[in-house]
Amino acid sequence: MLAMMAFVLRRLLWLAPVLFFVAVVTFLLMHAVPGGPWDSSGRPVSSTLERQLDAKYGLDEPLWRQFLTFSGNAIQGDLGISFQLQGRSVSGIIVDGLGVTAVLGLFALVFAVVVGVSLGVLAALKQNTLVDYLSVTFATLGASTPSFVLGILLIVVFGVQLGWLPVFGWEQKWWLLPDPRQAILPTITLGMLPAAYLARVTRAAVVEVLQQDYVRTAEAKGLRERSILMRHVARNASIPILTVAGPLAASLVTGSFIVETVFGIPGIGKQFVTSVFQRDYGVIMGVTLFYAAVIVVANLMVDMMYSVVDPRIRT
Amino acid sequence: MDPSIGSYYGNTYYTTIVEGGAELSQAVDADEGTIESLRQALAVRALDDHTLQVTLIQPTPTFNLQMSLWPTAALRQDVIESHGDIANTVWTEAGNLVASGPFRLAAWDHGERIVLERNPNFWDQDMRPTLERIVFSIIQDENTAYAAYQSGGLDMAPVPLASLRGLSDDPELRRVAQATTVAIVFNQTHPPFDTLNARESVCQAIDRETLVNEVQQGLGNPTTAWLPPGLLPYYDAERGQGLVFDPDSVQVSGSDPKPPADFTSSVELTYFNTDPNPTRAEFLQGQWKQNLGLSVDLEPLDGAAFFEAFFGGDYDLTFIGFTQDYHHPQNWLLLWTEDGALNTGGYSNPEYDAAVESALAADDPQEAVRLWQRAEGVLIDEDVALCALFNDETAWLVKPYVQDLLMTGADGIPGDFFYWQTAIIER
Repeated sequence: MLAMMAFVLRRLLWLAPVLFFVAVVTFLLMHAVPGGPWDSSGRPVSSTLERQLDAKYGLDEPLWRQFLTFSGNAIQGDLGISFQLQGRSVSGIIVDGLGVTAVLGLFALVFAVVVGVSLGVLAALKQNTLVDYLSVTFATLGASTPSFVLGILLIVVFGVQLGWLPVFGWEQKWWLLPDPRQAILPTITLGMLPAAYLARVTRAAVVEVLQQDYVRTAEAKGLRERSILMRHVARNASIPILTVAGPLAASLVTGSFIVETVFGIPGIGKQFVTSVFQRDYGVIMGVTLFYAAVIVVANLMVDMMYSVVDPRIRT
Repeated sequence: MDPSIGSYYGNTYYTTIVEGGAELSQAVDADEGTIESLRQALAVRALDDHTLQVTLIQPTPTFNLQMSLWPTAALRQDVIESHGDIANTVWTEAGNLVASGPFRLAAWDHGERIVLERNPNFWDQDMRPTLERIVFSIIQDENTAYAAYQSGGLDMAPVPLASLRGLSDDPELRRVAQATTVAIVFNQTHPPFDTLNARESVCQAIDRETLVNEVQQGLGNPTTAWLPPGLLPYYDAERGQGLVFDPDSVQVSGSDPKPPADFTSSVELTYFNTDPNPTRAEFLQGQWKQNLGLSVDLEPLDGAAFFEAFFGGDYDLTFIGFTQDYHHPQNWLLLWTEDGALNTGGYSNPEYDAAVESALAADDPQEAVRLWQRAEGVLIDEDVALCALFNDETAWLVKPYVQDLLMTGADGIPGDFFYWQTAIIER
């Protein structure tokens, strides 16, 4: 237990240099791109007005000093204010969008795990049958269809042709939860790639475990199939599955940029895309750092779960 | 006009006509005492609760038009200031915004939707809106908006250009010509566009009919004039006739070639990378290659980068669209004077500036028409400062139960000038 806590602590300490590195790279890239926050309106801004705005938001300082100011404030939890939605704080914008993005991401993760793992297990148990082939076809299609194509396809079929489901929006009805009808299409769109990926990895992992000696031993002992699956196969096959879960969490985060834009969902992903086009520096930095922290923590949780399923990793 | 407000339009539209406006707007670096005295000197006075007195530099026929634009909408200063710094936008949020229009802002879920409700206190009883509520859904993907319309989620939506062909017979399709001109702008400080010959050749090498029919899917009308055809009596149908597509006259290697312009240096076409601009740019690139033998590199930029490049004069060739804010050639032609708002390519001809100046000062309406036409003639026919391509058109789908939606050529969203009379009849 002590070793575990030391492990977690060590990993959490790594968060600081990771975030610092992400901050430096984002900051430099953001300022290297031509065009500033006052250019995106498409109207002529006089040079005097631009100077005035730059001075007001500290953009007239040299870059290194701007970065120091930003870092100093960020350490104290102040991510600054948005240039485009003046008067709104970056943290406020993140908190507003987070509820939506997190719920959508969670739905998609549940969809991916349920669909992906069941298909993978089913395919492995019925190796080289029609079920297997269908599952592999699904995995290949799901992994190779970009989400904006799948999204529009689902919209046209279920929204327009059949008229069963609304095609855009995300109204929070019960606290953070939306109207379930609005959630179905974006959830499938966002969850499809991870589901396909999980199906493939699960199938491979289960097939490999099924060929192990200990499974044959268990069968020879006369254990019931269900108990073999739960005790021996599931536990050992879950390690490679968990390995991909970290990157999958990241793909849910980054994938939601597109899904939120296609379905008009007011989450952080959409906010982030908008802020990049508007050169809303404060929001770009805040959201990027937030995403980086989410990914680091997601990977840490995966590593912690490793040690639960595989005692060897604890040492 | 006050530099502390930082208004985009104050400088463009009002400082040049109101006495004391230019002095105040230019006093950015002055101390607060000087600015305050310039504020006092600005010739705008509230004589009583219902009377505003504005003293103009010279008689200005467009004054009424300009006063009806959004920058002069009446707002309560004390209400704005009660929400903190005026430069913040907190006062524009739903619940904070106090305005005087036929509708009021009931909700604004950023990036999601805007809800307007009928204003029961609207001052003009004859123009009380029929609609009780208008919901604007903010959808970035135009295909999603189109799908939402088809599935009944929206009452009106713009048509994506790619879907337009299939809808030509649809009774729900509404097409309205826009007071918009899309034109190529030359950077006259970059060779070869410092020569009239080069600008002329590049302009004559574009088949506008094909541009509109193929790239625009038939949306819009080819033009060689800067002023839109609806701007009567100022519009001159003969404008730019010398710039009409003529593959023979621009053939460098033809039997009787014009003295060829010097196209040896590499030329870039910079454009705002948003649909359908990439297809437009590729079409232009192909036309110049095919008809002129001129190789042009494409430089697509996103909004912020494009406008920085455009307003900074950092381009060889670009194309832009302009939609009028008010119905007068002044709005169109002031843009291209020496310090005009869109003149970022270094166009400079004292004769043009003098023509605009005299048109602004003209007392007699007949004379004014002649002088504005003269100014456009210098801009287009004599100098080829611009190469007009087409006048744009909007294409929207509107459900049959939306009645009396009056669409104009200058709408932001169709009908937005006249929502008060739009109604929903029984579905």
